[in-house]
Amino acid sequence: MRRTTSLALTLLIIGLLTLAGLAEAGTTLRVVFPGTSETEKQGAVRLKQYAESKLPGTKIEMMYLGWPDLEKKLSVMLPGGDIPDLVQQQEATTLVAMGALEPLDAYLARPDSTLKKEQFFEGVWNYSQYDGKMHTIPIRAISYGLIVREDLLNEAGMKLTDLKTWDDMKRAAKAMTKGNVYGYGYPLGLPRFAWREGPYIAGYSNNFDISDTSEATKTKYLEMLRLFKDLQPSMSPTTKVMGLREAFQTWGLGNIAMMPTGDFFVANLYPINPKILKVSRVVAYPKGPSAQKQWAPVANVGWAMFKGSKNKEEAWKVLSLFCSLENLTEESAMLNTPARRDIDMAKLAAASAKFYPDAVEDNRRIIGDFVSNAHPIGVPMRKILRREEMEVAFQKVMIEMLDGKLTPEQAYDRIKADIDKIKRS
Amino acid sequence: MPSLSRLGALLSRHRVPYLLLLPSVLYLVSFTIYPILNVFYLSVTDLHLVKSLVPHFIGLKNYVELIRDDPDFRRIVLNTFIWTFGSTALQFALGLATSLILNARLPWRGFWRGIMLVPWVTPIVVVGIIWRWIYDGSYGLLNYYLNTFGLLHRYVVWLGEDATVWPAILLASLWKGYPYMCLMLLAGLQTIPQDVYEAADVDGATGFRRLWYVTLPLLKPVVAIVTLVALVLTWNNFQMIWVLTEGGPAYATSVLATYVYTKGFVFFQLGSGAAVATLSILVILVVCVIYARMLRLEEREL
Repeated sequence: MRRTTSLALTLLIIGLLTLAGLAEAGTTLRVVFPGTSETEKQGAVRLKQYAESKLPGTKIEMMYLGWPDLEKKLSVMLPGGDIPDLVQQQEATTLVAMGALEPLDAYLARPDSTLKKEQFFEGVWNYSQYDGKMHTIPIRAISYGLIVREDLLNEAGMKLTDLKTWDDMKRAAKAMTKGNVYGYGYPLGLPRFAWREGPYIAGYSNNFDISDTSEATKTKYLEMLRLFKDLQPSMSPTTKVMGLREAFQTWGLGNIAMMPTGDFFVANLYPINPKILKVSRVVAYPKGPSAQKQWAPVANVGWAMFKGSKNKEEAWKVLSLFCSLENLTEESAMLNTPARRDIDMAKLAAASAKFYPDAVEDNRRIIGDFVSNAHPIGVPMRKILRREEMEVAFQKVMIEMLDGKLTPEQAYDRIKADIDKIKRS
Repeated sequence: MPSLSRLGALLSRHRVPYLLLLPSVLYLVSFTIYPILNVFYLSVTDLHLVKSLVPHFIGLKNYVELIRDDPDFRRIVLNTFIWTFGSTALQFALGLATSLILNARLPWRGFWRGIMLVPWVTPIVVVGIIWRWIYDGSYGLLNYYLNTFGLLHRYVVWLGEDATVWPAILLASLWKGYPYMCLMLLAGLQTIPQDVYEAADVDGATGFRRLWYVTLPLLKPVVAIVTLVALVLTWNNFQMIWVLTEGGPAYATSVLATYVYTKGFVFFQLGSGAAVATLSILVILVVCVIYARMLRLEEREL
């Protein structure tokens, strides 16, 4: 009898506690926040606090992970039915192809929607469209260029304005390579960066996209491969094992003089060595022999909602908050260039002092360099389906070419064969 | 029908033991047997998350493509053998030497036995990150000391050069894995009766001969188990290689475990990735069977 009573009491207590827990819980949204820098990690914490303070009944479960791991993680979660609510995306091609993202046009068309197309820069807004439908709401623009150590360039007898062509860049890289300093940084160690932080950006400045292996681009492709072969003596011996993080660390230690990358540069460099930002400048990637002018690839980062989200209404509210003027004024001060055109630049500059107190002016100058590149010469980055496979094949061939096992001509044939095979299969 | 009723009677007679076994059986079925069967099923489909979320049966096409058309697959299989047998052999050699030392009467023996376990209890990701820093081509400790002591006159990119990448990975794996071997062999050594050694002494067997003719034969059952376990664990060890090199540069240090990950979760080719996983299971199964048979044969010969 006593045992039965104890059991009944225990069950009652468990039941009451469960009910209390459920009543307390409200809605919990799972938000995937990718980033590579300490600054971004802080941004994830800030964003969670911001959303929870604005929507008291909503809890945010922030899943912070590195950019290279984002799609890998989602490819495990989604087929298993473990579907988060929101995700920050750079290029959503793969997720759109998987049918994982909710088109946002119907939400935007609602009369009470606080987000309107006119609030955003047109090019940045358009980059969020896939097959004519909005799949992300942009929060930041990303533009790419060539970061240069101005002091080392001047010591080598050159000025920033001298970096107009690939030949100028090769000359500068050679002149700046001395002792422990290498003239050109290329993070070849990880496929994503072996593709983007170099050949892809160089390709745009030679008027082609490196996923395009048609006969029409052959000459341009070969020129790009020869450029990297020519730059090799100015690269660190660790190039083959260098990821983007290691490249930024090496830059922070003052051992790289020039490197192509995006406007997330400050967020990554500041925690390593804020002083080096003083001598870091950004120029458009010099133009190749087949281009009439320099080009800078431009993309965006935006928030997307999963089609399988069980809390779509709540997720849309949170997404609207994440993309609001109030939030983005602060967030854009932390990372990259703003996607909204209605942001007050004075407020943004003031906010950036919170994140970069030791490099307020340097941050403003570098972001200004990126913005001034992006506007006159920016072209939207091409969205490439199955890019991840191409990146691995491409990296493999680049390693063999830089190891001297392949000539640029042989490398081209291999890249073409591999990329064409991926496209066909 | 009689057999069914006999089964029913058996179940009702041993109701409690079967009930106690049920959770374990359910766990095994849910988390081991079902996933293995599902991996095999996926391996005969064309499931590619970018193309379609619905798998279609394609027979053995994934296997044929891997074996016949994939230019990297053979190298990856070879890498897996180098990684598995290299790691196990080195761990065994160092584990045996250490266990013999720690079995001897040493001052502070308990302390040495405890400290030996440090690499084994350190999380593998932490070990991988530490070794990556040791091997760093620009600022690594290994380069620093080798250059300081005049043994090298340049900085070597240990994880980036063909000649050094495998020795570097195997050394890291040796450091992480040898304490397990040592611990098991030490336990085995302590079961060898002292009078066997005394008899060997009387017969004039000392030093190496005592090790070769007395210790090792008596340790054989333990050796068989620990090396078999080490082979299987290393074959499936994904983390150490992933943290050190991510299977790169290119596929230079990819093994089957990392290739499954790349195929499935980087390229989203779940069908093809499952085929790599199935082949990996089959190969290690064959290796284990051959190994176990060899040991049984030797036991019979003894």
